[in-house]
Amino acid sequence: MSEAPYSPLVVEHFGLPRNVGRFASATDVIAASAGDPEQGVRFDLSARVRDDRIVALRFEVYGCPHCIAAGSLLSERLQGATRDELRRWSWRETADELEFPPEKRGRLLVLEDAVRALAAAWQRRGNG
Amino acid sequence: MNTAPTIYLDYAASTPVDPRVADAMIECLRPTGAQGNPSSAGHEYGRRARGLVEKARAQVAAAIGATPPCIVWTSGATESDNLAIFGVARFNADRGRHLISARTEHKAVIDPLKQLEREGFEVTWLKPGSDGIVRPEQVQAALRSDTQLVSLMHVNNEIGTIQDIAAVGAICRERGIAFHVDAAQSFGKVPLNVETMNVDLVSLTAHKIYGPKGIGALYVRRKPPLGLKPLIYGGGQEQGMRSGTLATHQIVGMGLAFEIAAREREQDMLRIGALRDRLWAGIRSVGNVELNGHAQERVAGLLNVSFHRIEGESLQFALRELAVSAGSACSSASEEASYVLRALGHSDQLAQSSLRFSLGRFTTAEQIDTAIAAVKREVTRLRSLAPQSENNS
Repeated sequence: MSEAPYSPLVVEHFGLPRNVGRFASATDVIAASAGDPEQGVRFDLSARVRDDRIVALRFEVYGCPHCIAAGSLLSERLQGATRDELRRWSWRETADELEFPPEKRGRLLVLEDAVRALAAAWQRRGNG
Repeated sequence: MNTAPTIYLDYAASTPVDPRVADAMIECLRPTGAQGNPSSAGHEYGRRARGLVEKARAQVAAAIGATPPCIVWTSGATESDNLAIFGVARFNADRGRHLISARTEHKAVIDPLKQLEREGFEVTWLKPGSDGIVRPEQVQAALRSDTQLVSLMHVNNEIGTIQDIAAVGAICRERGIAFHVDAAQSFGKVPLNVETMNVDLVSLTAHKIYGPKGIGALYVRRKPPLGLKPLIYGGGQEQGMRSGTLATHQIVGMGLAFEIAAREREQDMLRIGALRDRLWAGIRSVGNVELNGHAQERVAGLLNVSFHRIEGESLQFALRELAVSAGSACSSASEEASYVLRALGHSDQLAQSSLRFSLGRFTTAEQIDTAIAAVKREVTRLRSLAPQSENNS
Protein backbone atom coordinates (compact mmCIF):
# COMPACT_ATOMS: atom_id res chain seq x y z
CA MET A 1 0.00 0.00 0.00
CA SER A 2 1.45 3.38 -0.90
CA GLU A 3 1.53 6.24 1.53
CA ALA A 4 -0.37 8.43 -0.93
CA PRO A 5 -3.59 8.87 1.08
CA TYR A 6 -1.59 10.13 4.06
CA SER A 7 0.43 13.32 4.44
CA PRO A 8 4.02 13.05 5.70
CA LEU A 9 2.90 14.46 9.06
CA VAL A 10 0.23 11.73 9.40
CA VAL A 11 2.78 9.07 8.51
CA GLU A 12 5.19 10.45 11.09
CA HIS A 13 2.67 10.60 13.94
CA PHE A 14 1.14 7.25 12.98
CA GLY A 15 4.54 5.58 13.14
CA LEU A 16 5.58 7.31 16.35
CA PRO A 17 2.59 8.66 18.23
CA ARG A 18 3.42 10.99 21.12
CA ASN A 19 1.97 10.88 24.64
CA VAL A 20 0.06 7.62 24.34
CA GLY A 21 -1.55 6.26 27.48
CA ARG A 22 -3.63 7.50 30.38
CA PHE A 23 -3.06 8.93 33.83
CA ALA A 24 -4.37 6.98 36.78
CA SER A 25 -7.16 8.72 38.66
CA ALA A 26 -5.85 11.38 41.00
CA THR A 27 -6.95 14.72 42.35
CA ASP A 28 -5.02 16.60 39.69
CA VAL A 29 -6.15 14.38 36.81
CA ILE A 30 -9.12 15.04 34.51
CA ALA A 31 -10.35 12.58 31.92
CA ALA A 32 -12.93 12.34 29.14
CA SER A 33 -13.76 10.30 26.09
CA ALA A 34 -15.91 10.35 22.95
CA GLY A 35 -16.83 7.97 20.17
CA ASP A 36 -17.35 4.23 19.89
CA PRO A 37 -15.15 1.61 18.22
CA GLU A 38 -18.27 0.16 16.59
CA GLN A 39 -18.55 3.46 14.75
CA GLY A 40 -14.89 3.32 13.82
CA VAL A 41 -13.40 5.92 16.15
CA ARG A 42 -12.95 6.57 19.85
CA PHE A 43 -10.70 8.97 21.72
CA ASP A 44 -9.86 8.80 25.43
CA LEU A 45 -8.08 11.82 26.86
CA SER A 46 -6.60 12.36 30.30
CA ALA A 47 -4.66 15.35 31.58
CA ARG A 48 -2.75 16.39 34.64
CA VAL A 49 -3.61 19.97 35.55
CA ARG A 50 -2.02 22.49 37.86
CA ASP A 51 -3.36 25.96 38.58
CA ASP A 52 -5.00 26.89 35.32
CA ARG A 53 -2.88 24.87 32.95
CA ILE A 54 -2.55 21.39 31.54
CA VAL A 55 0.90 20.18 32.49
CA ALA A 56 0.68 16.87 30.65
CA LEU A 57 -1.86 15.18 28.37
CA ARG A 58 -2.17 11.56 27.35
CA PHE A 59 -4.42 10.02 24.73
CA GLU A 60 -5.66 6.63 23.60
CA VAL A 61 -7.31 6.07 20.25
CA TYR A 62 -9.14 3.50 18.21
CA GLY A 63 -9.24 4.72 14.65
CA CYS A 64 -7.72 5.17 11.23
CA PRO A 65 -4.19 6.55 10.67
CA HIS A 66 -5.56 10.09 10.42
CA CYS A 67 -7.22 9.71 13.82
CA ILE A 68 -4.10 8.32 15.45
CA ALA A 69 -2.11 11.25 14.07
CA ALA A 70 -4.80 13.72 15.21
CA GLY A 71 -4.70 12.40 18.78
CA SER A 72 -0.93 12.56 18.81
CA LEU A 73 -0.83 16.09 17.42
CA LEU A 74 -3.49 17.21 19.87
CA SER A 75 -1.49 15.83 22.77
CA GLU A 76 1.44 17.98 21.76
CA ARG A 77 -0.58 21.12 21.12
CA LEU A 78 -2.48 21.05 24.37
CA GLN A 79 0.54 20.73 26.62
CA GLY A 80 0.51 23.89 28.71
CA ALA A 81 -2.94 24.91 27.50
CA THR A 82 -5.24 26.97 29.73
CA ARG A 83 -8.91 26.20 30.25
CA ASP A 84 -9.83 28.90 27.77
CA GLU A 85 -7.49 27.47 25.17
CA LEU A 86 -8.94 24.02 25.76
CA ARG A 87 -12.49 25.35 25.38
CA ARG A 88 -11.60 27.20 22.22
CA TRP A 89 -9.89 24.23 20.53
CA SER A 90 -11.44 23.50 17.18
CA TRP A 91 -10.97 20.64 14.75
CA ARG A 92 -10.25 22.92 11.80
CA GLU A 93 -6.61 23.63 12.48
CA THR A 94 -5.83 19.92 12.93
CA ALA A 95 -7.75 19.11 9.75
CA ASP A 96 -5.64 21.56 7.79
CA GLU A 97 -2.38 20.58 9.38
CA LEU A 98 -2.87 16.86 8.80
CA GLU A 99 -4.58 17.33 5.43
CA PHE A 100 -7.65 15.41 6.56
CA PRO A 101 -9.74 14.23 3.61
CA PRO A 102 -13.21 15.83 3.69
CA GLU A 103 -14.97 12.48 4.12
CA LYS A 104 -13.05 11.88 7.36
CA ARG A 105 -13.67 15.24 9.01
CA GLY A 106 -16.55 13.82 11.02
CA ARG A 107 -13.97 11.84 12.95
CA LEU A 108 -12.32 15.07 14.06
CA LEU A 109 -15.65 16.21 15.43
CA VAL A 110 -15.48 13.16 17.69
CA LEU A 111 -12.09 14.39 18.86
CA GLU A 112 -13.58 17.84 19.42
CA ASP A 113 -16.31 16.22 21.51
CA ALA A 114 -13.63 14.56 23.63
CA VAL A 115 -11.83 17.88 24.11
CA ARG A 116 -15.09 19.62 25.05
CA ALA A 117 -15.83 16.83 27.53
CA LEU A 118 -12.37 17.25 28.99
CA ALA A 119 -12.98 20.99 29.43
CA ALA A 120 -16.31 20.22 31.08
CA ALA A 121 -14.64 17.74 33.44
CA TRP A 122 -12.15 20.41 34.35
CA GLN A 123 -14.96 22.86 34.98
CA ARG A 124 -16.76 20.39 37.23
CA ARG A 125 -13.62 19.68 39.11
CA GLY A 126 -12.99 23.38 39.80
CA ASN A 127 -9.57 24.93 40.21
CA GLY A 128 -6.86 22.46 40.88
CA MET B 1 10.24 -0.38 6.80
CA ASN B 2 10.02 0.72 3.21
CA THR B 3 13.45 -0.33 2.04
CA ALA B 4 12.71 -4.07 1.87
CA PRO B 5 10.55 -5.17 -1.06
CA THR B 6 6.86 -5.57 -0.30
CA ILE B 7 6.03 -9.22 0.35
CA TYR B 8 3.34 -10.37 -2.06
CA LEU B 9 0.61 -12.26 -0.22
CA ASP B 10 -2.28 -11.43 -2.53
CA TYR B 11 -2.30 -14.45 -4.85
CA ALA B 12 -6.08 -14.68 -4.59
CA ALA B 13 -6.28 -11.27 -6.25
CA SER B 14 -3.87 -12.19 -9.01
CA THR B 15 -0.76 -14.27 -9.53
CA PRO B 16 2.50 -13.48 -11.23
CA VAL B 17 2.83 -15.17 -14.61
CA ASP B 18 4.86 -18.37 -14.38
CA PRO B 19 8.11 -17.86 -16.34
CA ARG B 20 7.34 -20.99 -18.39
CA VAL B 21 4.03 -19.44 -19.39
CA ALA B 22 5.60 -16.09 -20.15
CA ASP B 23 8.16 -17.76 -22.43
CA ALA B 24 5.46 -19.56 -24.39
CA MET B 25 3.48 -16.34 -24.78
CA ILE B 26 6.52 -14.37 -25.91
CA GLU B 27 7.21 -17.00 -28.57
CA CYS B 28 3.74 -16.35 -29.93
CA LEU B 29 4.41 -12.64 -30.21
CA ARG B 30 7.65 -12.98 -32.14
CA PRO B 31 7.68 -12.66 -35.96
CA THR B 32 8.07 -16.42 -36.17
CA GLY B 33 5.24 -16.94 -33.69
CA ALA B 34 1.55 -16.84 -34.45
CA GLN B 35 0.69 -13.58 -36.11
CA GLY B 36 -2.20 -14.93 -38.16
CA ASN B 37 -5.85 -14.75 -37.23
CA PRO B 38 -6.91 -18.16 -35.94
CA SER B 39 -10.06 -17.82 -38.05
CA SER B 40 -8.04 -17.48 -41.28
CA ALA B 41 -8.14 -21.08 -42.40
CA GLY B 42 -7.04 -20.22 -45.92
CA HIS B 43 -3.32 -19.76 -45.23
CA GLU B 44 -0.60 -21.22 -43.07
CA TYR B 45 -0.36 -18.22 -40.71
CA GLY B 46 -3.97 -18.64 -39.72
CA ARG B 47 -3.74 -22.40 -39.53
CA ARG B 48 -0.67 -22.17 -37.29
CA ALA B 49 -2.48 -19.80 -34.92
CA ARG B 50 -5.54 -22.06 -34.97
CA GLY B 51 -3.35 -25.02 -34.09
CA LEU B 52 -2.01 -23.23 -31.02
CA VAL B 53 -5.51 -22.16 -29.95
CA GLU B 54 -6.82 -25.72 -30.27
CA LYS B 55 -3.87 -27.15 -28.38
CA ALA B 56 -4.61 -24.73 -25.54
CA ARG B 57 -8.30 -25.61 -25.68
CA ALA B 58 -7.38 -29.26 -25.24
CA GLN B 59 -5.06 -28.39 -22.34
CA VAL B 60 -7.79 -26.50 -20.50
CA ALA B 61 -10.39 -29.17 -21.25
CA ALA B 62 -8.13 -31.98 -20.02
CA ALA B 63 -7.42 -30.09 -16.82
CA ILE B 64 -11.11 -30.10 -15.83
CA GLY B 65 -12.18 -33.46 -17.25
CA ALA B 66 -13.98 -31.97 -20.25
CA THR B 67 -13.78 -32.37 -24.00
CA PRO B 68 -12.27 -29.51 -26.05
CA PRO B 69 -15.49 -28.37 -27.83
CA CYS B 70 -16.94 -27.48 -24.40
CA ILE B 71 -14.39 -24.71 -23.86
CA VAL B 72 -15.41 -21.18 -24.93
CA TRP B 73 -12.69 -18.52 -24.70
CA THR B 74 -13.64 -15.29 -22.93
CA SER B 75 -11.81 -12.29 -21.49
CA GLY B 76 -11.84 -13.71 -17.96
CA ALA B 77 -14.04 -15.06 -15.21
CA THR B 78 -16.23 -11.95 -15.04
CA GLU B 79 -17.23 -12.33 -18.67
CA SER B 80 -17.66 -16.07 -18.20
CA ASP B 81 -19.99 -15.47 -15.24
CA ASN B 82 -21.97 -12.92 -17.23
CA LEU B 83 -22.23 -15.20 -20.25
CA ALA B 84 -23.34 -18.16 -18.14
CA ILE B 85 -25.95 -16.28 -16.11
CA PHE B 86 -27.41 -13.96 -18.74
CA GLY B 87 -26.98 -16.67 -21.36
CA VAL B 88 -29.04 -19.31 -19.58
CA ALA B 89 -31.58 -16.90 -18.08
CA ARG B 90 -32.36 -15.15 -21.33
CA PHE B 91 -32.36 -18.33 -23.42
CA ASN B 92 -34.89 -19.91 -21.08
CA ALA B 93 -36.87 -16.80 -20.11
CA ASP B 94 -40.06 -18.16 -21.66
CA ARG B 95 -39.89 -21.31 -19.56
CA GLY B 96 -39.18 -19.81 -16.15
CA ARG B 97 -37.61 -16.84 -14.45
CA HIS B 98 -36.34 -18.18 -11.17
CA LEU B 99 -32.63 -18.37 -10.30
CA ILE B 100 -30.74 -19.47 -7.19
CA SER B 101 -27.44 -18.20 -5.86
CA ALA B 102 -25.79 -17.19 -2.57
CA ARG B 103 -25.09 -13.93 -0.78
CA THR B 104 -21.38 -14.61 -0.63
CA GLU B 105 -20.84 -14.96 -4.37
CA HIS B 106 -18.37 -12.77 -6.23
CA LYS B 107 -19.73 -9.48 -7.58
CA ALA B 108 -19.30 -10.89 -11.09
CA VAL B 109 -22.17 -13.24 -10.22
CA ILE B 110 -24.17 -11.01 -7.88
CA ASP B 111 -24.34 -8.02 -10.20
CA PRO B 112 -25.60 -9.89 -13.30
CA LEU B 113 -28.24 -11.54 -11.09
CA LYS B 114 -29.29 -8.16 -9.70
CA GLN B 115 -29.59 -6.89 -13.26
CA LEU B 116 -31.82 -9.87 -14.05
CA GLU B 117 -33.96 -9.00 -11.01
CA ARG B 118 -34.44 -5.55 -12.54
CA GLU B 119 -35.49 -7.29 -15.75
CA GLY B 120 -38.21 -9.24 -13.96
CA PHE B 121 -36.40 -12.40 -12.91
CA GLU B 122 -36.61 -13.66 -9.35
CA VAL B 123 -33.48 -14.68 -7.46
CA THR B 124 -33.34 -16.72 -4.26
CA TRP B 125 -30.25 -15.59 -2.33
CA LEU B 126 -29.12 -18.42 -0.07
CA LYS B 127 -27.49 -17.46 3.21
CA PRO B 128 -24.46 -19.57 4.11
CA GLY B 129 -23.74 -20.68 7.66
CA SER B 130 -21.24 -18.77 9.78
CA ASP B 131 -18.56 -21.03 8.28
CA GLY B 132 -19.39 -19.82 4.77
CA ILE B 133 -20.84 -23.14 3.61
CA VAL B 134 -24.10 -23.30 1.65
CA ARG B 135 -25.68 -26.65 2.50
CA PRO B 136 -26.84 -28.70 -0.52
CA GLU B 137 -30.18 -29.11 1.30
CA GLN B 138 -30.62 -25.35 1.13
CA VAL B 139 -30.36 -25.55 -2.65
CA GLN B 140 -32.75 -28.49 -2.74
CA ALA B 141 -35.29 -26.58 -0.65
CA ALA B 142 -35.07 -23.49 -2.85
CA LEU B 143 -35.71 -25.28 -6.16
CA ARG B 144 -39.02 -24.49 -7.88
CA SER B 145 -40.73 -25.69 -11.00
CA ASP B 146 -39.67 -22.49 -12.77
CA THR B 147 -36.01 -22.54 -11.62
CA GLN B 148 -33.69 -22.23 -14.61
CA LEU B 149 -30.26 -21.90 -13.04
CA VAL B 150 -28.30 -22.46 -9.84
CA SER B 151 -25.05 -20.51 -9.60
CA LEU B 152 -22.59 -21.21 -6.79
CA MET B 153 -18.90 -20.52 -6.49
CA HIS B 154 -16.57 -23.44 -5.84
CA VAL B 155 -14.13 -21.58 -3.57
CA ASN B 156 -14.93 -18.25 -2.00
CA ASN B 157 -12.51 -15.50 -2.96
CA GLU B 158 -12.43 -13.83 0.44
CA ILE B 159 -12.44 -16.71 2.91
CA GLY B 160 -11.39 -19.70 0.79
CA THR B 161 -14.31 -21.88 1.86
CA ILE B 162 -14.91 -24.86 -0.44
CA GLN B 163 -18.51 -25.63 -1.38
CA ASP B 164 -19.73 -29.17 -1.92
CA ILE B 165 -20.17 -28.69 -5.66
CA ALA B 166 -20.63 -32.38 -6.44
CA ALA B 167 -23.58 -32.66 -4.03
CA VAL B 168 -25.29 -29.57 -5.47
CA GLY B 169 -24.48 -30.84 -8.97
CA ALA B 170 -26.24 -34.13 -8.28
CA ILE B 171 -29.35 -32.31 -7.05
CA CYS B 172 -29.49 -30.03 -10.08
CA ARG B 173 -28.80 -32.82 -12.58
CA GLU B 174 -31.60 -34.92 -11.12
CA ARG B 175 -34.03 -32.05 -11.66
CA GLY B 176 -32.60 -31.05 -15.03
CA ILE B 177 -31.70 -27.57 -13.83
CA ALA B 178 -28.59 -25.88 -15.20
CA PHE B 179 -25.79 -25.54 -12.67
CA HIS B 180 -23.13 -22.85 -13.03
CA VAL B 181 -19.94 -22.82 -10.95
CA ASP B 182 -17.54 -19.90 -10.67
CA ALA B 183 -14.25 -21.74 -10.34
CA ALA B 184 -11.94 -18.72 -10.59
CA GLN B 185 -10.54 -19.41 -7.12
CA SER B 186 -10.65 -23.20 -7.17
CA PHE B 187 -9.02 -24.51 -10.30
CA GLY B 188 -5.45 -25.56 -9.59
CA LYS B 189 -6.11 -25.60 -5.86
CA VAL B 190 -8.76 -28.27 -5.40
CA PRO B 191 -9.84 -31.09 -7.72
CA LEU B 192 -12.28 -29.95 -10.38
CA ASN B 193 -13.96 -32.41 -12.73
CA VAL B 194 -17.02 -31.31 -14.66
CA GLU B 195 -18.22 -34.86 -15.28
CA THR B 196 -18.01 -36.30 -11.78
CA MET B 197 -19.31 -33.04 -10.27
CA ASN B 198 -22.29 -32.81 -12.64
CA VAL B 199 -21.78 -29.17 -13.52
CA ASP B 200 -23.08 -27.58 -16.71
CA LEU B 201 -21.20 -24.30 -16.82
CA VAL B 202 -17.85 -23.41 -15.23
CA SER B 203 -16.17 -20.00 -15.21
CA LEU B 204 -12.40 -20.15 -15.46
CA THR B 205 -9.65 -17.57 -15.55
CA ALA B 206 -5.91 -17.66 -16.24
CA HIS B 207 -4.53 -14.93 -14.00
CA LYS B 208 -5.34 -16.66 -10.71
CA ILE B 209 -3.26 -19.63 -11.74
CA TYR B 210 -0.03 -18.06 -13.03
CA GLY B 211 -1.36 -17.26 -16.48
CA PRO B 212 -1.93 -13.83 -18.04
CA LYS B 213 -4.70 -11.39 -17.21
CA GLY B 214 -7.36 -10.78 -19.84
CA ILE B 215 -8.14 -14.37 -20.78
CA GLY B 216 -10.60 -16.86 -19.39
CA ALA B 217 -13.00 -19.53 -20.49
CA LEU B 218 -16.48 -20.80 -19.92
CA TYR B 219 -17.02 -24.53 -19.88
CA VAL B 220 -20.37 -25.24 -21.51
CA ARG B 221 -21.85 -28.73 -21.38
CA ARG B 222 -22.43 -30.13 -24.89
CA LYS B 223 -24.21 -33.40 -24.22
CA PRO B 224 -27.05 -32.80 -24.05
CA PRO B 225 -26.53 -29.31 -25.45
CA LEU B 226 -27.18 -26.40 -23.16
CA GLY B 227 -29.01 -23.37 -24.56
CA LEU B 228 -27.07 -20.16 -24.14
CA LYS B 229 -27.85 -16.73 -25.53
CA PRO B 230 -24.62 -14.90 -26.43
CA LEU B 231 -23.61 -11.54 -25.00
CA ILE B 232 -21.36 -10.53 -27.87
CA TYR B 233 -22.28 -10.76 -31.53
CA GLY B 234 -19.91 -10.40 -34.46
CA GLY B 235 -17.77 -12.87 -36.35
CA GLY B 236 -19.42 -15.95 -34.89
CA GLN B 237 -16.27 -17.29 -33.27
CA GLU B 238 -16.53 -19.90 -30.53
CA GLN B 239 -19.55 -21.53 -32.17
CA GLY B 240 -21.36 -18.22 -32.05
CA MET B 241 -21.25 -18.07 -28.28
CA ARG B 242 -18.53 -15.45 -28.10
CA SER B 243 -17.63 -13.45 -31.18
CA GLY B 244 -14.32 -11.61 -31.47
CA THR B 245 -10.85 -12.40 -32.80
CA LEU B 246 -9.16 -14.93 -30.57
CA ALA B 247 -6.13 -13.65 -28.64
CA THR B 248 -3.68 -16.38 -29.57
CA HIS B 249 -0.85 -15.49 -27.18
CA GLN B 250 -3.25 -15.08 -24.24
CA ILE B 251 -4.91 -18.39 -25.02
CA VAL B 252 -1.53 -20.15 -25.33
CA GLY B 253 -0.64 -18.73 -21.91
CA MET B 254 -3.85 -19.96 -20.35
CA GLY B 255 -3.50 -23.41 -21.87
CA LEU B 256 0.00 -23.91 -20.54
CA ALA B 257 -0.86 -22.40 -17.14
CA PHE B 258 -3.72 -24.89 -16.81
CA GLU B 259 -1.59 -27.82 -17.89
CA ILE B 260 1.10 -26.92 -15.35
CA ALA B 261 -1.45 -26.30 -12.60
CA ALA B 262 -3.13 -29.65 -13.16
CA ARG B 263 0.21 -31.44 -13.14
CA GLU B 264 1.73 -29.66 -10.13
CA ARG B 265 -1.37 -29.02 -8.04
CA GLU B 266 -0.95 -31.68 -5.38
CA GLN B 267 2.70 -30.91 -4.80
CA ASP B 268 2.08 -27.14 -4.78
CA MET B 269 -0.83 -27.40 -2.38
CA LEU B 270 1.09 -29.52 0.11
CA ARG B 271 3.85 -26.95 0.28
CA ILE B 272 1.54 -23.92 0.27
CA GLY B 273 -0.80 -25.47 2.83
CA ALA B 274 2.12 -26.01 5.20
CA LEU B 275 3.16 -22.37 4.79
CA ARG B 276 -0.41 -21.23 5.40
CA ASP B 277 -0.54 -23.30 8.62
CA ARG B 278 2.74 -21.79 9.70
CA LEU B 279 1.35 -18.30 9.06
CA TRP B 280 -1.82 -19.01 11.03
CA ALA B 281 0.12 -20.47 13.96
CA GLY B 282 2.22 -17.31 14.06
CA ILE B 283 -0.69 -14.90 13.74
CA ARG B 284 -2.95 -16.60 16.28
CA SER B 285 -0.20 -16.37 18.89
CA VAL B 286 -0.85 -12.62 19.03
CA GLY B 287 -4.26 -13.43 20.58
CA ASN B 288 -7.78 -12.10 20.05
CA VAL B 289 -7.94 -13.11 16.41
CA GLU B 290 -10.55 -15.09 14.50
CA LEU B 291 -10.15 -17.35 11.52
CA ASN B 292 -12.87 -16.49 9.01
CA GLY B 293 -14.50 -19.30 7.06
CA HIS B 294 -14.57 -23.03 7.56
CA ALA B 295 -11.66 -24.44 9.59
CA GLN B 296 -11.17 -27.49 7.36
CA GLU B 297 -13.14 -27.04 4.15
CA ARG B 298 -10.95 -24.31 2.77
CA VAL B 299 -8.39 -23.88 0.07
CA ALA B 300 -4.72 -24.31 1.00
CA GLY B 301 -3.34 -20.92 0.10
CA LEU B 302 -5.79 -18.58 1.79
CA LEU B 303 -6.04 -17.26 5.33
CA ASN B 304 -8.63 -14.67 6.32
CA VAL B 305 -8.26 -13.33 9.83
CA SER B 306 -10.17 -10.74 11.85
CA PHE B 307 -8.30 -8.88 14.57
CA HIS B 308 -10.22 -7.75 17.64
CA ARG B 309 -9.57 -4.24 18.97
CA ILE B 310 -7.84 -3.07 15.80
CA GLU B 311 -9.17 -0.59 13.27
CA GLY B 312 -8.91 -2.04 9.79
CA GLU B 313 -7.44 0.87 7.86
CA SER B 314 -4.73 1.42 10.47
CA LEU B 315 -3.92 -2.27 10.42
CA GLN B 316 -3.56 -2.28 6.67
CA PHE B 317 -1.41 0.83 6.64
CA ALA B 318 0.75 -0.43 9.49
CA LEU B 319 1.36 -3.59 7.48
CA ARG B 320 2.11 -1.88 4.20
CA GLU B 321 5.26 -3.95 3.85
CA LEU B 322 2.84 -6.82 3.09
CA ALA B 323 0.73 -6.84 -0.08
CA VAL B 324 -2.52 -8.25 1.32
CA SER B 325 -6.22 -7.54 0.86
CA ALA B 326 -8.25 -5.88 3.59
CA GLY B 327 -11.89 -5.95 4.62
CA SER B 328 -11.56 -2.29 5.46
CA ALA B 329 -13.99 -0.17 3.47
CA CYS B 330 -11.79 2.92 3.46
CA SER B 331 -9.04 1.22 1.57
CA SER B 332 -10.95 -0.64 -1.10
CA ALA B 333 -13.17 0.30 -3.98
CA SER B 334 -16.28 -0.94 -2.23
CA GLU B 335 -18.32 1.33 -0.01
CA GLU B 336 -18.96 -1.13 2.76
CA ALA B 337 -16.96 -3.45 4.93
CA SER B 338 -16.69 -6.92 3.39
CA TYR B 339 -20.19 -8.08 2.44
CA VAL B 340 -18.96 -11.66 2.58
CA LEU B 341 -17.91 -11.44 6.22
CA ARG B 342 -21.06 -9.53 7.09
CA ALA B 343 -23.13 -12.26 5.44
CA LEU B 344 -21.44 -14.72 7.81
CA GLY B 345 -22.76 -12.67 10.72
CA HIS B 346 -19.68 -10.60 11.56
CA SER B 347 -20.06 -7.10 12.99
CA ASP B 348 -18.92 -4.19 10.86
CA GLN B 349 -15.96 -3.74 13.16
CA LEU B 350 -14.79 -7.31 12.82
CA ALA B 351 -15.38 -7.36 9.08
CA GLN B 352 -13.48 -4.13 8.78
CA SER B 353 -10.50 -5.38 10.74
CA SER B 354 -9.96 -8.45 8.59
CA LEU B 355 -7.01 -9.24 6.40
CA ARG B 356 -6.82 -11.80 3.64
CA PHE B 357 -3.41 -13.40 3.24
CA SER B 358 -3.13 -15.50 0.10
CA LEU B 359 -0.08 -17.56 -0.69
CA GLY B 360 1.09 -19.11 -3.90
CA ARG B 361 3.69 -20.91 -5.94
CA PHE B 362 6.44 -18.39 -5.27
CA THR B 363 5.82 -17.78 -1.56
CA THR B 364 8.78 -18.73 0.65
CA ALA B 365 9.08 -19.72 4.30
CA GLU B 366 11.28 -16.68 4.86
CA GLN B 367 8.52 -14.40 3.56
CA ILE B 368 6.01 -16.04 5.89
CA ASP B 369 8.29 -15.57 8.88
CA THR B 370 8.80 -11.91 7.99
CA ALA B 371 5.03 -11.50 7.65
CA ILE B 372 4.39 -13.12 11.04
CA ALA B 373 6.92 -10.84 12.71
CA ALA B 374 5.34 -7.77 11.10
CA VAL B 375 1.81 -8.77 12.10
CA LYS B 376 2.82 -9.45 15.71
CA ARG B 377 4.72 -6.18 15.97
CA GLU B 378 2.03 -3.96 14.46
CA VAL B 379 -0.98 -5.62 16.08
CA THR B 380 0.66 -5.29 19.48
CA ARG B 381 1.58 -1.68 18.77
CA LEU B 382 -1.89 -0.65 17.55
CA ARG B 383 -3.60 -2.39 20.45
CA SER B 384 -1.35 -0.51 22.85
CA LEU B 385 -2.78 2.74 21.47
CA ALA B 386 -6.40 1.68 21.88
CA PRO B 387 -8.56 2.80 24.81
CA GLN B 388 -8.08 0.34 27.63
CA SER B 389 -11.34 1.06 29.44
CA GLU B 390 -13.83 -1.78 29.86
CA ASN B 391 -16.51 -0.45 27.58
CA ASN B 392 -14.36 -0.79 24.50
CA SER B 393 -14.40 -3.81 22.28
